[in-house]
Amino acid sequence: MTIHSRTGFRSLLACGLFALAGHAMADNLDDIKARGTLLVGGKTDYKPFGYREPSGKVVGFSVDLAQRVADKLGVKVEIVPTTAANQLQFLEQGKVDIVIAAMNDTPERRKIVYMVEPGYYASGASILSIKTANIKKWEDLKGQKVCAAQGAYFNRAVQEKYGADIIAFKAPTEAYNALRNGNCSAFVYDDNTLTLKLEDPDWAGYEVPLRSIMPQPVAMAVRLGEDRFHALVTTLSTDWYKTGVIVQLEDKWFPGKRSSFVQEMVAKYR
Amino acid sequence: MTESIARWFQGLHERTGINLTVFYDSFDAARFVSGIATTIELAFLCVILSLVIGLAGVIVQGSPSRLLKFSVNCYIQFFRNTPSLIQLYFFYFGLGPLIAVSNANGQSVPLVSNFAWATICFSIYAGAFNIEIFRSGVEAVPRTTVEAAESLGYTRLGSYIHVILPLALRISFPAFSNNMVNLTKLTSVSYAIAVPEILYASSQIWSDALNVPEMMNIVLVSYVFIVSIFVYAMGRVEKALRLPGIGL
Repeated sequence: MTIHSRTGFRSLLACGLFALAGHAMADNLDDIKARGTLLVGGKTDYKPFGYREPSGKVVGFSVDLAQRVADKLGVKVEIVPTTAANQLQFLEQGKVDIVIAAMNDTPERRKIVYMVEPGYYASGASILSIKTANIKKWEDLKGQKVCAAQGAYFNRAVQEKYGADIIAFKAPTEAYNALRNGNCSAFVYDDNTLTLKLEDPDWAGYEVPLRSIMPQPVAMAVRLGEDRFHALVTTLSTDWYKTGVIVQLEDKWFPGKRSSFVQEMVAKYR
Repeated sequence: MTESIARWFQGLHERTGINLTVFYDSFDAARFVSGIATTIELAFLCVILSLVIGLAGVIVQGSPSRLLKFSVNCYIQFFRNTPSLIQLYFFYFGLGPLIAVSNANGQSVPLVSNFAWATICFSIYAGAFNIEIFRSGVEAVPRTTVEAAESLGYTRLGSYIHVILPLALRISFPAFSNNMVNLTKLTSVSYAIAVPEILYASSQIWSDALNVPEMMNIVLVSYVFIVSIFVYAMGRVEKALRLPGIGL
């Protein structure tokens, strides 16, 4: 018994150490070309960046960009569904080559992946709530239950700064459900997505009453150390502003909207 | 003291990249500790409730009424044969919205919280197993002992409480103890409905600090620690209940 538990403990310890050790990777660009497919980590429940059409096909702003990256490399594209909580792990573990998942560029994330500058859009945090809840400012969330999606970069700030009681679910779908069921008085999430939700007749009676906070660029990311691949997508990303690709895509996915971030970037890179 | 520990772990992060925020970031530390407390609270409530369900169930199962027996069997079959994650989703998203009241905003608010649903769900799940475990114990009590109790004038309930259950509990204790260890670990499933237990707290921390491997190790060690204490306590109870002389 003692011997068994001791070996058990040792192997447990070993597992822990391996998990901490991390791993090194060879150049990814050659792998992608040899494979003939670009594996893209993307969201499938995040309108209009990446979502499923009724036919089941994943479409969206990010998906169009993923296609462009793949075209540049001369390979096919495959979208691997990820969430905010696991997208960077998928990238680190090599399950995907690049994350194009409406992911915000934050200093913490920069420590573990290469963010691609310039970002292809920008977003911040806002809330969706029932009109009768009468939430007028962020401070009104103090002590209230607020639904969230796990892994969103603003969850902690909303809890720490505004005193909201964050209930974070695995995926936004569950958070929407919980909001509708009255488990929370608001859902804090990406402002672009929430604003779009209001057009859905199912959400009549709900509003996005607060001004966005913590705006951050939305960027693609590749693994640390993939310098060639990173340089390639950085050039590509700059070209998208030069040649008007992002403006076209904004017209396609956010009809009638011209975000100040896009205007700024176009002016900078043209 | 705590400050120097915090400084050491912060230094560890800067030197090696091993980022154990729970030891130096007070916000993360607070949510992790409250996660441990929630897990222990949830496990404790579920153990007690599932024990009550198990005892009540086994008494009803031994009753002469066929309808009662049938309903207990239905309950056992239903909850033993469905995954607990599905049950949790069913209760929280399926049943929860139906049991609601309107609040001042005209929004319907569920009466039962996610923590309460987790407690209910895990208790009846483990309770179903407990009934079966105790039944095996009841069936192992020698027929002659039961007859002796009856001939001494015990009522059916009286013989259960004073003769059968005390023996049956001791016989089935190892199996019961196993089930309770599983139940303690099962509490981590409530992560799915955002009950702020250890796994949930950790996922919040690793989403912010992006230290997944470190937090996974901490979660694992925390569970080893909590379950070990629980197993030790169950061992002590088993020893205290020992009846020398009849091999129990």
